[in-house]
Amino acid sequence: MAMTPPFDPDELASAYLDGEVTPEEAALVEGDPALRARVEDLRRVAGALGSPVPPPTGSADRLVERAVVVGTAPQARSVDERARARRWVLAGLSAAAAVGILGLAANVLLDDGDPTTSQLAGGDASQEADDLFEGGAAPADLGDIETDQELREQVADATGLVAADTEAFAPDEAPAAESEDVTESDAAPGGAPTSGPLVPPPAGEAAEPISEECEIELVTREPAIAGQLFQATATYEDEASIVYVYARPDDSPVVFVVARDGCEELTSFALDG
Amino acid sequence: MTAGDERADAALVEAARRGDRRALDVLLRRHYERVWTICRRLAGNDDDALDAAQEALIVLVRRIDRYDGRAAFTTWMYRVVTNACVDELRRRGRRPVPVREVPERPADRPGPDERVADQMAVDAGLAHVPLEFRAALVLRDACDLDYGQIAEILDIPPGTVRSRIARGRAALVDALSGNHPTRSPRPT
Repeated sequence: MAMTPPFDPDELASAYLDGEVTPEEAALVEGDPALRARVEDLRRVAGALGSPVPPPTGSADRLVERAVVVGTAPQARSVDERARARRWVLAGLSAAAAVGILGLAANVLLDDGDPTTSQLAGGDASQEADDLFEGGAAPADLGDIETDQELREQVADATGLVAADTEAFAPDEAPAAESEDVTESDAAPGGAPTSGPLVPPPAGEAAEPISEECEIELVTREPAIAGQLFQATATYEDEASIVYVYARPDDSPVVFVVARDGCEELTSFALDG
Repeated sequence: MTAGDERADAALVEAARRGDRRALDVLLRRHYERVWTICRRLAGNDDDALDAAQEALIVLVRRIDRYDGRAAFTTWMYRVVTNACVDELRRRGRRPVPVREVPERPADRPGPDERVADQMAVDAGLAHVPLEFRAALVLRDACDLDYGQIAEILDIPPGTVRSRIARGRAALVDALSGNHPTRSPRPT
């Protein structure tokens, strides 16, 4: 890092001030009145910058307490969860692709074959999954909602979480063997399957937070809630809103609707209540 | 930081990773003033600094499991906090609130007024220093770290640290003397 002419006088003076120069550089500064004057200029600003700015009273309590609450709450979009969701969808897409390939093979055997069909059937499942999760998938939008009952049904539809008083979850119509498979057509933009029971329910987990500010407000206000199961946008009673579904410590889901502007809670209820 | 401080940090980190929230709380409070200093100097005002510090503390908590103990906890903490504050400020698209004129220093009234005027002048001056330079400058002058530590924290070569600090200081001197540069120096 030793400097040979032509050198930057500011860099030399600044490094001298910090004691980060070679003996030769130090001698250069000490023998040059202009450089020594520049060192003094820099010393003044370094001193001003080093003067402490005390934090606002009470800020340590407030910020640390909130950081512990929010930071230790299960994250909706942790890397592990994203990877798990990705593997889960990949498995579904691979199964779908395999079914397509089998179909194509049957076509080839029974028919004269069609190359375009081959390309479609062999469509890159992993690429499709990547597309679904690229850059944090867009959150789902539940549209216009006027009542809690309507919201309950929408959330149940979007997540597959059981809502006791809705007909969205109909196990009799979804044989277990099929319910494990998720095809692209089953997946909402947020990576959330739109139909059928989901085990586990990664709905919305891959999405980037719609509003971190509202998420923090909510988790801080409701310390009893645990992991986030789902988030989506909606227009609730004509107000642009965010719908969150969180698990309680006993794993039962609870729905919160907050205004996007200001994070005020508009309604909340137990999904299975 | 003494060796004893580092051992205390290591014990708190270990306990925090086992789920001890009290240990986590104590650890964050031990380092709160450092977090605040970085975020306050980078943000240039209390409001943005509080938001940035909050985000930085949350990131620290969420990443505590990733601390592998190879570097001192403070070095790791400075890295996480500096990055979190810079990211937060960039995300918000905020720079320190620029003050059109550097406040006059009250020549014959030393004391608190002068300190406030100095403070405002530094905040105003820093608004003219690009974030990359500001980060190096703050770690050096406000946190008293050496070039090697800053290089490790910012993940840049020591020569770049030296250059950024020099250019940041020069920009600050210009700003405080009222010679606002027409164009911010470009980070290297």
